[in-house]
Amino acid sequence: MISKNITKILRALLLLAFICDLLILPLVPVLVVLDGIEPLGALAASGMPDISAWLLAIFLMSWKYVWTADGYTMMLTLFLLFSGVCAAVILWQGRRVLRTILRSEPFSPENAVSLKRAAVCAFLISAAALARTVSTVFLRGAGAALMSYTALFVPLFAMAGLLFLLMSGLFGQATTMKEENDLTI
Amino acid sequence: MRPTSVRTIAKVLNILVLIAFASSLVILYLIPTAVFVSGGCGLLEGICSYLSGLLHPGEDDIVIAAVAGSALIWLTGWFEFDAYSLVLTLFLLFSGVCVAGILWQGRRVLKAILRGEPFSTENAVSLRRAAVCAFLISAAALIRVVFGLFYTRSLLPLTTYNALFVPIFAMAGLLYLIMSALFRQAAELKAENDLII
Repeated sequence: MISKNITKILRALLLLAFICDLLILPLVPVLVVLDGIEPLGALAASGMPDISAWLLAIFLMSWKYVWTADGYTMMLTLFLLFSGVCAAVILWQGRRVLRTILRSEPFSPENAVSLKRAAVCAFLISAAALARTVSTVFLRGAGAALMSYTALFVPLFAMAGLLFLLMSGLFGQATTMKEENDLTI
Repeated sequence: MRPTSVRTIAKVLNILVLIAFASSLVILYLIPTAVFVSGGCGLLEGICSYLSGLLHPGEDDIVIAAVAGSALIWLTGWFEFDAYSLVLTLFLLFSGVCVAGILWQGRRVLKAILRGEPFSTENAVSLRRAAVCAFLISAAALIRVVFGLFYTRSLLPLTTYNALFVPIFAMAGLLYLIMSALFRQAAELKAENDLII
């Protein structure tokens, strides 16, 4: 029997990650313009009197700026937004699978479907990372493109996608096995 | 999905995991060099500039010295690094070993799938071991974040990728634990099925 507590904890953590993902998505252009999360943290820690007005101004300006800026900035924003959405879908499918485990029905056909959806999203992230790497090769040269974490994401998420596909296949097999078992009894 | 396509995916994944395992061993060896070359920031650039200098040496580059340097730094580096670089190196080495452990357990599971025995108790054991490795990485990342908080005397280490590793690997560990339990359950189901037939 699978420990319900572990499943519950993981499900709560996935929800937390999902919420963080949704909160970060609108902030993507801000992070692109400020070049990372550290300046935002420093700004928030500076404790200026009109800090909220500042943050709102930065937020609005950056959403406008990224679409009019150079190709590199636009590509980075698009990539982050796209993979953020895909990551959210993966997290949601993970929650669906965990819900069936909590219902004590881990080997159900819907889990195979959920995992297949997660696999598609992982492949999409991998493809987006590949597209961004190729665009960076043209915009900034091969060195900068291949040395980046984005280049690392291509094989990483391709492997994650294959893993999800494999798990989907295994869940499918286990489901058939369980149905056979239930029929004989 | 048919069992044959599961096997094909497992085969491809097996090769990719082997490549990742080999790369992790190579990177493990280069970690002290990367920390030394990059001075603690831009590790990926550090490794790449070291490797590109090695593979495409300029006129004044001495390849043998660079190769010997990467080995020598394993002996002398511990005395030359400052506290920050030392903790960084130890963290990277420790998590590198744990990652290699996870990848190796992954290969064991994939081999069992290729043998046509995905639902076996040994897979559950392998996944439990992978879970332990993931928790160890999470703990190591937590230690490094706490060290960073004291070292820099600011909250900036909380905004690094390192801080992100703590929940990510804790979640990965929990995921492996659940997968382990699922594999065990499926193995019991299969044993029951085989007995009836």
